[in-house]
Amino acid sequence: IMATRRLNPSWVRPAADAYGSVIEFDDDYDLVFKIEPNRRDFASRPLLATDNALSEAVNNVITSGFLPIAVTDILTLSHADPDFHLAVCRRIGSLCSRVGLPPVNGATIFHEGFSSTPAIHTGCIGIGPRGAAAKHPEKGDSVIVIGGPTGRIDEAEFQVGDPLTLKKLIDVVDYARKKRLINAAGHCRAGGLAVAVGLLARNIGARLDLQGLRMENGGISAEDLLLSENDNRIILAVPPENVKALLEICEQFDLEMSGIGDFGSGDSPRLIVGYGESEWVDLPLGFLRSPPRRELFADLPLPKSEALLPLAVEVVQPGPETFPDFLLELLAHPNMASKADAMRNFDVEVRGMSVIRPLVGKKLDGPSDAAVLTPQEVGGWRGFSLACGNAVRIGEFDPYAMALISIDEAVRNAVCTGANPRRIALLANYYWGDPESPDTLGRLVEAMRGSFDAALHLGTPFLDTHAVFTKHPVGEHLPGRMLISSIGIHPDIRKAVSMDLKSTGSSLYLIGDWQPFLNGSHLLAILPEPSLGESFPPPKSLPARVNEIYLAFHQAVMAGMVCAAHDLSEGGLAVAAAEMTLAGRLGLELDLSAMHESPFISLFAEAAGCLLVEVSSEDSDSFEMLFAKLPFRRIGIVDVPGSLSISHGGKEVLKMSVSELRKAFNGNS
Amino acid sequence: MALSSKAPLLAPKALILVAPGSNREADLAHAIQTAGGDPHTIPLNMLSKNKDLLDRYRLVALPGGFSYGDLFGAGRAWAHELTSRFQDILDHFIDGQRAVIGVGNGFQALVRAGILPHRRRSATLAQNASGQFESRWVQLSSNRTNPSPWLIGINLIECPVAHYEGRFVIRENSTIPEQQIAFYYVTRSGKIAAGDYPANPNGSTLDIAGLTNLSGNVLGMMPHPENHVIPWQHPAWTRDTHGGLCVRLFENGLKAF
Repeated sequence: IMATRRLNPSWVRPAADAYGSVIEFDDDYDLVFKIEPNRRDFASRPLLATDNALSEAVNNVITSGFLPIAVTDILTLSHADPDFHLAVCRRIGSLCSRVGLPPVNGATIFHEGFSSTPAIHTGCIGIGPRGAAAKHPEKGDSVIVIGGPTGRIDEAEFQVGDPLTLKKLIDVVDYARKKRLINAAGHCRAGGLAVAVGLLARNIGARLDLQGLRMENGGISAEDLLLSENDNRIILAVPPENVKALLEICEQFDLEMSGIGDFGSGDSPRLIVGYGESEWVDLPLGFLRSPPRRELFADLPLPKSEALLPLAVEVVQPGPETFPDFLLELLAHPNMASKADAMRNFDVEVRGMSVIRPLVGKKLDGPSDAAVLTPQEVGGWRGFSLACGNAVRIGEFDPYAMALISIDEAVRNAVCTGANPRRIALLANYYWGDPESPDTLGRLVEAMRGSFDAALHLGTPFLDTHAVFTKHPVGEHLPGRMLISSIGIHPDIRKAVSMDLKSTGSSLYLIGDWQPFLNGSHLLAILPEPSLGESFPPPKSLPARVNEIYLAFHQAVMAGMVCAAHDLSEGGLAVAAAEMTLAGRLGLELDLSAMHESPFISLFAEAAGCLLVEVSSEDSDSFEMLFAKLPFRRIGIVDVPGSLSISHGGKEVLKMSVSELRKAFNGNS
Repeated sequence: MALSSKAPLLAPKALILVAPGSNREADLAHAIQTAGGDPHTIPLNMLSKNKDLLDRYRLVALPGGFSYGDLFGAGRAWAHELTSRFQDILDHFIDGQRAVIGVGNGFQALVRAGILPHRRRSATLAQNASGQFESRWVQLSSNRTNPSPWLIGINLIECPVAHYEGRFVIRENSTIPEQQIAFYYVTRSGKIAAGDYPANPNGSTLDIAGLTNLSGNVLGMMPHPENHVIPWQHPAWTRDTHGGLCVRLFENGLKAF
């Protein structure tokens, strides 16, 4: 958030309800992007926790006064259970299609350290005309509850909203917003009605009479009425003259509505709650404006020699005979392999916005860098991108570097598809260990310092930042999760770029200042015995000219020079090239001699700020001219269907058939 | 309360009727607008207050989604609402030879309401043969023996399906005149799917993807033509694969009746 203040971009502004920021879509519309972690126990009740997280993200967009239009999800799971992954994805798909929102972007990160704390983060994107967003309640506004009834608090059977009610809430609030019937809205999640109304009323107070509240069944205690949580219940601040019109809309959509009081409590803001004649609560709300602070201690600088923080692992560089197996193993690794099975349940077509889908290419099985969507509400050719970056493994070595790489990844993924690098905003979600442990907190501080520096360097403000702290079994190592999501503006979706190779004879370029690292790379995770040899630690800063490179690439996309582009990320150049070939069912002939003296490093080391770009032979000269003063290398040509063949120093170091690569990636299907 | 678009003054008006839980109404509105129409979206319950409302419209469209949460089966509760509360209004509109389209869940409702194919319980939409939710693009070929104005100038189209209950089944002892069939599922090369998955994504009898009523003014189909009205909606457009646009279908609905 400090980075956002420092950057102070004109195209990102604080949300009207003071929760987070919004990004300008065009002259008339803004976009909002909200992400919610699972608040319920995901390990023991994964499906209900998924429903809960997704409903909360959608509700957050509704109550901020925007129309929900798309969904994202990031899963962090242990390696153990592919069936678990599939079941959760089915649930996401089912809920999304029932509510009519396309699940268009996301990631699944498997890590053995997540076994006791698997988590889901669900995001929701909303659009709305500028100035129509929810604001603050006015004194005298009625406190209206719409949605599901209030039930008893029961941890085992918490009230998870059904998708039908959620869809009705979307529709009713959208109609009411278009008719300007509502001043503000709040959502009954943690702390239920009491917190939802309390936060809305923090400056003016409110008086409630809960006799009007609709209950699920009788015999509910006062405490339950005030605190019970329900995903599908929304509090609205409605000027009294609009209540009748709102009731009419609710009737059209068969949605229950009840009035439970008024905003405003006299001179000082108080929350006064009663039931008929009896008064239950009279609470001054001043404390909400000065939230409690706690002092915690962090170990800084981070200790260098600790087993969990091997800042420099050294690697014996294996010979070319091992390369094919490494590449196949990387492509088949759960973090990189195709998630098509899970995504088959995702309806990405609903709302008709998808321009670049999660799966692209000749047979629609290539992994897209980002989603590109064009909201039909607006019309025209402008769109937006959604992407993410989550370099959890690097955090094991260096949380600061993890932040740099994660943010760069979320940005370069968006840039690959043609999003404007000067119009990309971020969300950061930290899912972290116990903050009372100075070491754990020290790592969080390092990650946040990295995210501040990376955001300033790339010129990408944060819309919002959230942290969840979790206790975990003693002695178990919990890798810090830093999940970065990006939303970027795409100036012309007709020029959007997918990652699959397009045509024989075109050139392949590596653009960017390639500074290889192995520690924290995915290859290291599969190497049998990392030991001895030269060390390649993760970077201490992003390449100085990365912005110029992204901008030049964006110009090339807008000039129609780019046939395909894919970012170098986990697995390095070898994996990126392999994915481009299998998605396009075309071969590649590459010469990596100029990259590094070691073919092993050239192929598998990872680097920030680099893209592979396919450019047709007629556009090659103009493309090279555009990059004349920037780091780029022409590393090969697109070949007839057949193989990925890579030479180094005049020798062939890898040759594999595209179908073999495809089978490894797709799990032989 | 109808939400109107910024369409030209004389653009043909279309009414999109939504039930609670419908969710492809925005997609339909976009398609109708792209085809030069002026779409208005209203909840079905509005009709009970204003029974003459339909008189102002050329076209009535029932969108996809999960109306009433698909309680008791896809489209069933919606069909019940349509027939028990609005049968006379709908009959009047349909008998007046004006255009009706039901897509996905809207088609399921038209079949369950007995508006398609011709009488109640002659056909149904059952669970997909694959037993799972099917979300994929399909190729459709129009039936040349169907004289409906909906199909003027349409040969092959491409669009997505997204459903769990889309297998069109003709009930025992029932038949459907061939000329009522509007669309068949076909392979990428345009050959009849002959039941093969995934060209026929749900196992529909005779590869039937959509049909019209006997007089040709009511069209219902499981696939979603409203999701392919601009070329950039096609999943392979970045590879210069174009064609199969469905916008003509909506132009026909707005202008040919």
